Amino acid sequence: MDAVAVRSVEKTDYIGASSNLATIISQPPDGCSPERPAVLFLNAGIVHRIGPSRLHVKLARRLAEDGLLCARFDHSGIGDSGARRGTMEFMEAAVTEVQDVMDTLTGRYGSQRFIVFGLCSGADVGFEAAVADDRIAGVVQLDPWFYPTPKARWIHYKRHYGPQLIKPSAWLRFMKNRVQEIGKGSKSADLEEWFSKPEYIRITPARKHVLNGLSKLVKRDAKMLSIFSGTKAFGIYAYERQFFDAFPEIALESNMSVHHFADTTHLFTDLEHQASLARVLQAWLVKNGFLPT
Amino acid sequence: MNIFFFGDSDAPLFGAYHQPAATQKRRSEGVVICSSVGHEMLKTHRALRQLATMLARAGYPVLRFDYSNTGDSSGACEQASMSRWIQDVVTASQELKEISGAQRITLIGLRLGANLAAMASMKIETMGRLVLWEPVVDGRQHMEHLLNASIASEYDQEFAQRLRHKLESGEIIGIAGFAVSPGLREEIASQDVTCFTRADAEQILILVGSQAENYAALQQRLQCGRPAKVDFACVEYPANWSEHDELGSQLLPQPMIQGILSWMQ
Repeated sequence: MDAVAVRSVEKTDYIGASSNLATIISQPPDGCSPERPAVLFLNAGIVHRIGPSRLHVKLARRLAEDGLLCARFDHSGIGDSGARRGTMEFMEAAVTEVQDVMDTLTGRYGSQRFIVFGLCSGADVGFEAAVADDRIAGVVQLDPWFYPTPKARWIHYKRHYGPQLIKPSAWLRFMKNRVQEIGKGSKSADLEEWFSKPEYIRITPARKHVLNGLSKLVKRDAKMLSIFSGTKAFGIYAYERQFFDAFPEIALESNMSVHHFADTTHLFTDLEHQASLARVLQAWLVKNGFLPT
Repeated sequence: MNIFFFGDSDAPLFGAYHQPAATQKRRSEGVVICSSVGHEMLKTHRALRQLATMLARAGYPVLRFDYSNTGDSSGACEQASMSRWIQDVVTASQELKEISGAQRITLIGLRLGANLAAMASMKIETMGRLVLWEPVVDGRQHMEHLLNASIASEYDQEFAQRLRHKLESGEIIGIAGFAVSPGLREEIASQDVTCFTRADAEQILILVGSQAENYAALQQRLQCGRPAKVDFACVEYPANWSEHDELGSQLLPQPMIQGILSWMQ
């Protein structure tokens, strides 16, 4: 995905209300068109603005080549940005900072609409920012919040536990692993002092919160692309339509595209999966009129 | 701190310059930090920023930067090479001298960045000190470890097979999300203690996290026939630099950062 002849122009800057958000702006080679949305890439956890697997750099340069102004920046306290000022907690500050970046891009380049792209916590911030701000016309989320369905539970148990329930060796292995996990507890605590802990702890909110947000986005015709990897770190996403099935109250399909990359890791570490992601993203942008055909 | 692009305008490098604290006596020695690469670079970004910040508070002008084809610098990962990265270290050193007025350059290199720093040190006029922080002294073992860690972290059951096929046919492979060409693989695999033999500096610190045999060999090789003072420090470090974890954690080895700062002062 990376090996694209790049003609876009990149600039560095510190932007935002406190001028402390380290930002790289990728400009299209033929100039910025205010009619087209600008794309904001949001931090994934505490990984700085280049993104896991340098994903944000690769995608921003590709999209800029296609004609979209792109900005990848670090939220306060992450990467090369300054420390957060004031007393706001992470999510509130992050949404405000997204709005600050949008304000700057509007002022400098005339951008009126925006697309936010986020993985993991970046997906969470993107969702909350989109709900808070009508300027966000598109939301791309990798591993966003999701909820189980009866079908998901059935698929999961059948796939992973069904054949094992009748094997004594599987039960012995299970018990041995449990004992080892308990023993590991104190060793894990020793390792913690060598790691930087993220401030934002990802907890899936009550379903009603996400339902309200989705309703708001659908009502103003915002477009969404949600991609679920094969990670089980946040629960079990078992089949492609699970997200739609979890929200039967609203007709999401006209506004949301969902993809399930079951073999993909949370950080899209396989180059072929990155290429697939780029294709899906490009198709979604064209389908929703953000990019010309 | 200022972020900016520098170097060749057709292939710019990204840099982050930490101005020395105004309250400190200005030092004539500037520090260029040579990061690791790939997912190790992602995991240690915060640690190197913290090191740079602390050095700047102590009065040193400091430049962190991304090598060509990595981070925010220009170029695709597929075209990366260590020989180009060595030149980038030299370019960064020249840039730091120009923007800060520093008369000598100290290089602090972490992991493969230590190897690059050692090889670049021979090409830098007015080279000051050299810090080799957990250098890669067995490139073949390092590559093997990276490949195994990559395979272990993937969900796709065909990944290992695809990877082996690409290795055998000399194609570009992905390691923890970063493309690595056959040429770069060979450059990394060829790293050993002999790469450090001609490292040129007034003083050298080797800082490691374990008492591995190869580090002792590195120390002996650097001390042999060299007027420079070579210090060796081991801070037992439980975490694994190369391990790839799913949630993108950041390593922040505070005792090691403090150790470098103390040695510098």
